[in-house]
Amino acid sequence: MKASIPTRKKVKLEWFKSKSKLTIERKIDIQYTSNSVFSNKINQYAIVKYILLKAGEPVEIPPNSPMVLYKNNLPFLFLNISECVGSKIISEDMIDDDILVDDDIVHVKEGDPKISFEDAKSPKEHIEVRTRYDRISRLINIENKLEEPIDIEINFKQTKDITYIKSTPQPTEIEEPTYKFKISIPSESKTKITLELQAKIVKRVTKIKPEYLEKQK
Amino acid sequence: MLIDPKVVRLVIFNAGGGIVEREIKVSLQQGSNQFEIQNVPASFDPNSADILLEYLQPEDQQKFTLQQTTVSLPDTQTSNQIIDREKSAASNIISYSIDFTREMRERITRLCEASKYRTYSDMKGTFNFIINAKDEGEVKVKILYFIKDTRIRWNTTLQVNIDDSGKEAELEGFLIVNNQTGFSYDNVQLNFAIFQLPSKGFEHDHISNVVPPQESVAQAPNLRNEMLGELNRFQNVQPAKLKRTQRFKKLL
Repeated sequence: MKASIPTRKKVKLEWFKSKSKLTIERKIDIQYTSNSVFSNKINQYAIVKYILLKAGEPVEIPPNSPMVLYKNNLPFLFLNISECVGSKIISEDMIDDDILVDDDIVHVKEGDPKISFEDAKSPKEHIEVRTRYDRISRLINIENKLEEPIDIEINFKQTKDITYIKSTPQPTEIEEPTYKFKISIPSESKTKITLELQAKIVKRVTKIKPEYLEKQK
Repeated sequence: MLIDPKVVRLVIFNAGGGIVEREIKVSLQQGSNQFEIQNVPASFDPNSADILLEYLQPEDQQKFTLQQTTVSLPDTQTSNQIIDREKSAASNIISYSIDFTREMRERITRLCEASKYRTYSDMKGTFNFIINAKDEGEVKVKILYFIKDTRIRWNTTLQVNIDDSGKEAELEGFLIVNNQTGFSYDNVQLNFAIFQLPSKGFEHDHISNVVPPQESVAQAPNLRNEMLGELNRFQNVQPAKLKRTQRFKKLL
């Protein structure tokens, strides 16, 4: 393309114009630690990204280029491009402020501790390992404040300490260690997921061996 | 001979800088022909500067040979002194002159602005070459050089018009060329590349341009700088914070 670029000026040039298919991907990634699983309330976020499948020849757009979404000829969202693969233009991940996620604890059932011992550094000491398995029930409330229905994917990722027992509703797909829930939420409505989890709680205390305690007396 | 080859092609890098291709047809006399190219910015890279001869007739290849090219950049310190003086003069003109007419005011403002934004990269470099000719004739000369000036760059902006169904959209892509250098490019073939110039050497040039000598001394390694370096490294490994959606809400 031919153009004139004057000194100390910005020049805007038309590059391409084409149709595209638009997909909006929303997800909530949930993962707990043995500490956070007992929190009364956890702030979770819905992550949104826009994927455009451009018709015609692919274009290469550098990452971090700005993108403006228009609806009814009015700009409604300013964001950046995260990557461009062939005809696919993918926006950056953003926290969707119009989807509210409340993650609250409902119930905790403490398990019986099992005690075992491990060697300590000093021969006069040993480590008392108390292991117990607690059952925790958490309720995740998702509210769609948008004026349109949405599809959202909730991904619960289990860890070595926090494992999945059951849930309401059942996961749509299980890809160990991730349990996926694909749900649709109508406009200005709420939906909820109950997760029943098992937490492995391990406490280690270094103690003087009983035989040495007696000798000290 | 002083020549001003026309810029025919400009490849701009998204991270700043680019490649300039200039072209001119020159007449040669028998013997040694020396040329000096005008309007070469000081931001040009002398190491990558290249001259190519395009022969108009096949037999010219035997007649005309490029003997040498001579390149040099202006001295940084002297150039910065000149720029500082010009900036100061421009500032004084704005401060003390109140009786300009409207037309004069606009012209003078433009001139003062140009002085204010001038940097070392807007100074002129030297780019000379010598062609030896066995006979009289003409030859087309192509001049290629990199410009290491991040004030010329391009970016894109994408306008996505979503239809009522929310499943299809019309895309409009625009290229925005931002030229904050002191050089204009008139009716040139533009190419755009996703490229970042190597920072080594380039950074060194620019730092030496903007940092006064006394500040350079303060940059000597010390405990505080080392600690700051550690802090910066720590900050670099922090996960990037996500932005939040701020959708336009129609009020009326």
